[in-house]
Amino acid sequence: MKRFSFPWPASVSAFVRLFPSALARLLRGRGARLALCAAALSPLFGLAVHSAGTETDAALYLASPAVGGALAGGLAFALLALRILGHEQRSGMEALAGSAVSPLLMGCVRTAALLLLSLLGGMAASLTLLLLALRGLGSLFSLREYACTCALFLLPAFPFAVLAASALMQLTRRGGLALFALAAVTMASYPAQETGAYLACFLVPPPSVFSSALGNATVFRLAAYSRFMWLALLLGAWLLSLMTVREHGLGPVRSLLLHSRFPALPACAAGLLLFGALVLRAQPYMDHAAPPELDLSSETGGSYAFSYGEAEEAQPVTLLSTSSEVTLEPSLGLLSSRVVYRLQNESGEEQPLTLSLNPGYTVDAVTANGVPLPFADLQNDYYVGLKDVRLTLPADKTVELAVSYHGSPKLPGGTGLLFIYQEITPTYVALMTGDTAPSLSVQTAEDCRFTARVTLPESMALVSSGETPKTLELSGGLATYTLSGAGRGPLLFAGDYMTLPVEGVSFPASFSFGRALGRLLAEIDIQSLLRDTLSFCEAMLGPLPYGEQNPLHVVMTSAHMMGGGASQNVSFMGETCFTSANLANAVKGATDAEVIAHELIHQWWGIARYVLDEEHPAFTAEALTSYTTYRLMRELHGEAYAREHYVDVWQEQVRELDSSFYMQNPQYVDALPADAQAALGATIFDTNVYARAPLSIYCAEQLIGTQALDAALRALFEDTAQPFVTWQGFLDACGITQAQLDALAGKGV
Amino acid sequence: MTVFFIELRRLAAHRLYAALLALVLLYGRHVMHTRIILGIGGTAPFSALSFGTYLLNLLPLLALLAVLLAAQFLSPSARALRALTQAAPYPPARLRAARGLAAACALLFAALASAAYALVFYAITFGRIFFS
Amino acid sequence: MKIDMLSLSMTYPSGRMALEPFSLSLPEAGLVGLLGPNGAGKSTLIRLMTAALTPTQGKILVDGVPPFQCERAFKSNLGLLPQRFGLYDELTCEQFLRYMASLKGIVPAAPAIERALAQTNLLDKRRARIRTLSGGQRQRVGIAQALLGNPRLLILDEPTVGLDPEERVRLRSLFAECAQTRLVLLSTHIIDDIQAVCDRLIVLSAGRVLFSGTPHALIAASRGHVGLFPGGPGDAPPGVRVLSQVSTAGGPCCRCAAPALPACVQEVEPTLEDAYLCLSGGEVTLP
Repeated sequence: MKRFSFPWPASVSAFVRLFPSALARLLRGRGARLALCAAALSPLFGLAVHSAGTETDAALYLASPAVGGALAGGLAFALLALRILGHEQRSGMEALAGSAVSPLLMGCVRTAALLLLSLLGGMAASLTLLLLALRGLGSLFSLREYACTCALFLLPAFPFAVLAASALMQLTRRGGLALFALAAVTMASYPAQETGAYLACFLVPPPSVFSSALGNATVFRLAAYSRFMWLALLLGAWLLSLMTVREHGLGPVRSLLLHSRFPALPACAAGLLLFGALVLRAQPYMDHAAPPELDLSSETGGSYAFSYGEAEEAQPVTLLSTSSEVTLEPSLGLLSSRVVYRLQNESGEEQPLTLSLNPGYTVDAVTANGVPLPFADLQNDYYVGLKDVRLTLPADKTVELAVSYHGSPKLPGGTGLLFIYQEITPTYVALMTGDTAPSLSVQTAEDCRFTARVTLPESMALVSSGETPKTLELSGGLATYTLSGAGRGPLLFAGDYMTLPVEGVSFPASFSFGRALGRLLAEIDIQSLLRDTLSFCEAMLGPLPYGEQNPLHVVMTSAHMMGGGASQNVSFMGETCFTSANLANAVKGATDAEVIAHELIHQWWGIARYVLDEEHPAFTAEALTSYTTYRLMRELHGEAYAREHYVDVWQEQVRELDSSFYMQNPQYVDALPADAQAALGATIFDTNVYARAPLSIYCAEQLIGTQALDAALRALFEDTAQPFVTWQGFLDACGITQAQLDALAGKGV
Repeated sequence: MTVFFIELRRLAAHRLYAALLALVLLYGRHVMHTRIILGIGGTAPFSALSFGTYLLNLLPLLALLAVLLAAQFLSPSARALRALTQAAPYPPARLRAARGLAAACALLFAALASAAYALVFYAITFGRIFFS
Repeated sequence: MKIDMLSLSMTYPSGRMALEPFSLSLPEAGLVGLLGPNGAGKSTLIRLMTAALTPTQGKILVDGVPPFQCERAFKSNLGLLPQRFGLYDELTCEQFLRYMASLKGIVPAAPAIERALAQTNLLDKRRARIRTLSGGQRQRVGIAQALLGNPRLLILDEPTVGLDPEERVRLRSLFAECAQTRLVLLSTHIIDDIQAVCDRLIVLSAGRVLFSGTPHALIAASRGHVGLFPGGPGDAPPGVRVLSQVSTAGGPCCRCAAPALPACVQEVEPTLEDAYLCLSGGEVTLP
């Protein structure tokens, strides 16, 4: 028999000749049948262990089986690949086969057979996933979501596992070592999923919480990019390992040099690896922010602050109004916008300004009063999801600064978590104020107003801050809206929303939610919770300043957004807060119902009244909001319940932090690497802001009594003469001193 | 004893074992830098609790190592040698015990090496402050 | 070590009778050759003798005692080289022999190892790793471990496979020397080895013992049954079986065997190979 050698036509015909027998031999083996069975059952494993969470039905019945199936099925096929490839060595067939066929060709043929088998296994697993999803999701099932989940999370794991195992086996020729290396790499990269390193794990990318109602296109985009990158890297690594297949008794390095005489092989291997590295380097979905630096110094003692880039406001420049034109391409996830800032420069001099915007946007042009203005994009991505663009405002008294930018918002990389705040997808859009009108380092006039034209697909219902949007134009499947309101720019959400009014409060309020969840939400009477929260706060603190033209909007956002927030007349919280399991569970009452209430209460503390105290940075709107939430839960569920789920929790958190090692021994903090310091800082931040501060307010209640505290809080809310609510202002309103509070805290109250 | 030492030497001097040991240490480094460094349960990263958690995190990999070490005795060369060892008067149970003990010692060494890494890490990272 | 086999028979669980009942005694010292085609039962006999198998019928006695009853003592005096065996490739020759010496309970091991290395001409390879050795050198390591401790019973299954002619001759001499003080059982396909050194021969075929005696006796029994005729196998007279083709000064000829040689076939003195082929082919039958 003529020994195999390149050029390509001979090798291809030899491959075609050998492949069927290699596949047949593979299928005859018991291992292959076991692997196929394991693959078919693997989604059940994912469902059982909740590998992608249970916060939503889509997470439980679609993501969990897919992720768990990818892991379990991938492992099964990796083991099969190791076993099959090792069999040639163990059986002594290598010497015989090597005398007839090139080891390189046999390596290709065997791996190709394994890949085909793995794809069959993946298809079997996909079928199981389909059945699980149909049964579990019911009316929430979407064929498109299922297909994307299969194609991006489940199916690729099988051939990827085969490629990785084959590469390791060809390189090491030791099944045990290859298995060990595979296990170690998978175990090391799996926790990376918790840190949002979406490119870390080759077997399955981190899923984030799946949305049942508003689509998961952003998650799919991240997964697709990850799969694309790993496909290139794994193929390149496999080709490289193929070149190390031992021949003529040579070791791995000399075999590699020997096989380099076929230039196509090293060229393809190097090309793929380089391409994969470039894809990794150029990843477009997460910014490059470094973890924030930890600053333990504090004038008030015990609290701390993140230090991150914040430009100083140019004092003599005031923002009077903005006007923006925002165009969205949801299918590509792109935004292009032109924002005109009307500025007043009282200094008569040029002023350096900083424009802070999401690192995913590229500034195309800046003009001042129609004259092009040079600008410098610092590309200094920092916490959270921002970068700076420096420019110099001319000395003119009134300047119309026009900024054109385009791009796709990036996820914040420095937080270490997979937070998806902004999304632009065909089924869901979520944009913050910084996306529609990036912030400038100037003062904002009290009566600053925005106007915006936003173009969206007609099928998407729009909910935005400010006044009720007016439809300007409907054509070609697109709808153009005019938005206006107080502030710098609008916050907007769009999707398959259904909106219902919230009755029982003195100001207009509505609740917008994903239409697909309509029936479920009706069953749990979500409107009652909203009404109870709004009416309680109105009774305790006073009404909100909303009217017919700018009602309060309560918006359900995608499950990808952790927690919630509030901005102007919009309070938003993630889909996970609204599941029946979470809301109906009284024991869990301090979680998701609390999140809904918490975000609504921010309308009072944070939106209607700003809370800011530079001398006591831990005293924020969160403190007052958390305390008010506790009071609401006390009203709804009783004293014992509220104490157990709030006061006791705060006390425990504060105690844990204060007694923790690094708080007791701050001299050790400097020894920590930057990312560990950032993680520590996040813990300190959370505890001080969300536990210690509301606990202080609770202590104040113990000192002066509930009625007196309520009166103090109402007074603070109504005192609009003060621009901010400060800690000292709170103490004064309560008629107490810090020393009195400290004494009470010392008694362990 | 000679049998035990030779079986131990077979395991420990093997390139596979060296590679596995290196992987265990690399994984230990990863665990230390990502999970242990902030301390467990509010205690110091070098507290007994943190150190114990570090070792616990390594257990799955060490268990896999144990399986692989034991599998060495089922390797083709070990099975082929059976034709000779069966003809020797050395009790088979004792031979199995010697091999098991050798595998246990190799595993123990890997565990001790991981523990030693942690101690070295503590000394380098925190030693100066601890002793100042 | 005297070995007696009394009505010994072995039938495997699958039903195949590997050895038909036979009785045989082997002397305490001497070199006994075991000859037979593939599947004759040689390996089965060896496994029965080394207590790796229990006979289904009859018994085997070593110094009057079944080997199972004195397994440890028996194996302490046994040196075995199986047909297929493995070695610890990562060890050196010396390390491997030390390992085997420990398994055999040989104390002190060093002189025994030294002697075995010298006997098998491996002194210059003592520190070489086994994986670096050639096939023949690996075979010599196998022989060396069998020779460790001067066992009273030495069983060698195809010991000279893979060895060069010089090595084969040297080892044959070694086996003959060993046989002066102990029983050496040599199972082989190489007739020359048997002819050169064996003073006794057992021929097996299809599980039956066809012959047990001296090589000379087998040759003598074949006289008159082996002949030579000119030409090729196609020229064979009727009633004869061609054994081999040879080239002579008078042209190509064929050695043949027959129960009764025809007149056109010239009778020749049989070699041991001829005698073995006649026996296995049925031209010669012995009681």
